[in-house]
Amino acid sequence: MNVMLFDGSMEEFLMAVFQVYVEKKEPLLYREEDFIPNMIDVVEPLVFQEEAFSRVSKAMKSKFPKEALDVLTYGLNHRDPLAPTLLLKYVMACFSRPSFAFQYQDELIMRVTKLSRQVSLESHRFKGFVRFQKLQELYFAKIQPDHDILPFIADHFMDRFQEESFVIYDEKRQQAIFCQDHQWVLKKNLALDEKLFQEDLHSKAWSMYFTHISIDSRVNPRGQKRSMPTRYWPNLPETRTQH
Amino acid sequence: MDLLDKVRILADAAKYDVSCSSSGSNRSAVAGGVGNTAAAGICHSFTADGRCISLLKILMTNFCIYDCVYCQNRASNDVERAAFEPEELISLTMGFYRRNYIEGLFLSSGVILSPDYTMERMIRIVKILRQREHFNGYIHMKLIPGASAHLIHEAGLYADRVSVNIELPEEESYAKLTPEKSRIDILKPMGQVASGIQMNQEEKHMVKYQRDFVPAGQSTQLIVGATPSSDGKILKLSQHLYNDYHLKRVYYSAYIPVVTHALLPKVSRPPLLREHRIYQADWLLRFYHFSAHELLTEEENFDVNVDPKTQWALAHMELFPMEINKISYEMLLRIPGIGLTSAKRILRARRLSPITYEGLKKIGCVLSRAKHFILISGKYYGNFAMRPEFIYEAISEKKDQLQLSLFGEIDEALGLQEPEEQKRLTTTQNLQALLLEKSIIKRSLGRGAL
Repeated sequence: MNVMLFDGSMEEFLMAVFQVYVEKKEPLLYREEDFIPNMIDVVEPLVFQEEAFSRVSKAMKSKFPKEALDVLTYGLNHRDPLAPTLLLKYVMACFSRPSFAFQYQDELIMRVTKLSRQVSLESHRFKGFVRFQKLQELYFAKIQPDHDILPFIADHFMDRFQEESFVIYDEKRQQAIFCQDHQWVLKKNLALDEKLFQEDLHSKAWSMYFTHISIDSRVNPRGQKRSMPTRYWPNLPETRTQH
Repeated sequence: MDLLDKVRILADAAKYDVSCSSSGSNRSAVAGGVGNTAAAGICHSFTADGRCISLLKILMTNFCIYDCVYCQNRASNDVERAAFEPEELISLTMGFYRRNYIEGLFLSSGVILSPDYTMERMIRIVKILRQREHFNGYIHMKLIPGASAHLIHEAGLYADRVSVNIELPEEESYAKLTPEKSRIDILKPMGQVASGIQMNQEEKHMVKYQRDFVPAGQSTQLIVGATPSSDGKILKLSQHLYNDYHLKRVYYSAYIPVVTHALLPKVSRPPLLREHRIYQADWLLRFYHFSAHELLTEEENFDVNVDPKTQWALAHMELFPMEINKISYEMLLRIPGIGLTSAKRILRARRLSPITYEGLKKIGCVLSRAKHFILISGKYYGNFAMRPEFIYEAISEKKDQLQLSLFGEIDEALGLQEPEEQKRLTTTQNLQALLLEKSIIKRSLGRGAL
């Protein structure tokens, strides 16, 4: 079978849409890092073409409801290796009938809706779960999210901390956003030194606060873990010791 | 005393305030300032009791001249006392905020010298945060009952949200439990803020750069289980507060015996299930277009085994089953097992094709509950021929059976094992509160046996 490989970006995803829609290729799409070479699949590389890109994106923007575009943006950053293929099928379904995006009785629609909700939920969570440590005049934070959420939280932190320079490092994907003077960039394939993420003075007061604001007679560890899964705990100063 | 000790003591003293939300305010950042607020609110951590930390919820001081029986900071209670210097609290808030530990500050305080003096000191802290530190994040301020009107107004200019806790659902309880306060002391500032907000909103239509006044609205808190009020009474009060004072939230706090006092019931575990049911009902008031009198009469309590919406539906079987492909959004919301998200999805999906049983499952409805109350293209998928008592039995969460062990505890709390203690307690009306708890359980048992 012919499969297409891409780098995970929206640009190349739209190339795949073009291939399926115009060239009538099989809608099978994987990220390069997720694909395991095997004897059945024949890999077809995607080449970025400006013209095809603008044609597809223009068509999608004019035809698709806003909700469908959101589903795509979030869904594409889901870690599930099948996500790109599902989204490709979703785009095809929406092209044939844009209102199909709201057919919540359909298996495919519900699957991609759930994918996108998971990513958007995690993005929202990490607006809270990012913890900065101050080193000289810079703020450093390290996270390990399930999905690739850095692009979705960058604007939030840039707006919030106007006067500060900060780095948020996704340890799992080895990429980071660097923000300074109200601009941010995403850098890939880098390993940051563990020493940058040392606890500072405030984390002690914070841990003290965290312990004492809890009401003992209402203890509910299940509720706590449901809202703040333990896999996030190593990067939170208040729970690091409990992990 | 070092800062860590102050954090420990004053966080401990603040924890019984339930509210911690940072929602309702949407202020963008300004150049040169620190922070902004997000309309939806952001939770930054979750404590061992499962509650979210959004704000640095802390007291300015836990010294207090009042002696409210239910409060752990009351003057006659023997606890460690501490007070923050304004600068300490300011640097703590800014330090926490810059590290993204919190959305902002929730400042409350014990009353020192006088309500006005306390309020002035609190305002000074908040003012420095806003003006000198250019702090643009969320601030929730507790209003001190009895403070002067001009101070209340000033607080509202710097805070996103203000609150004053009603605590006791019944007016009669005040005299006994918190002799220094009365219902009037609490409702007065609440009324002032409510009309202030309304005026501010009108002014904003006319003047382009009008200053905000309490942009995130006000909230309050009621204690559940410290006095003998029924769920129906509590809910009626909430409805009144939402309608007449335009509160954004009413919080409920299961009574936790922070102090032992002869006037208060001796329960060893907070009535969490009861609190949960009241919260469910509160959601029905705010998002599902229910009103308090539809759910309960003033004397009634919620059933422990089913959620309030199901309880309402079972009492109104004449309205059901409803055809899922035809009824309005408002009616969809009244069906047990269908929430806000699934109701919206049903609306959109049925424009494309009729809803089917399988489709409804994919949409995310809780069909085990919903199927007893709906028709899908004319077909009924429930069992029990619409007999409420059987449906109740089938979808009961069977909480009463889990709670049977509580009987022993309640007996113990009533002092039935110790005749002397019983004598002392029966003289107070608080006995009724405990009996009430017991009667809820008994009632649901009785219904289950039908």
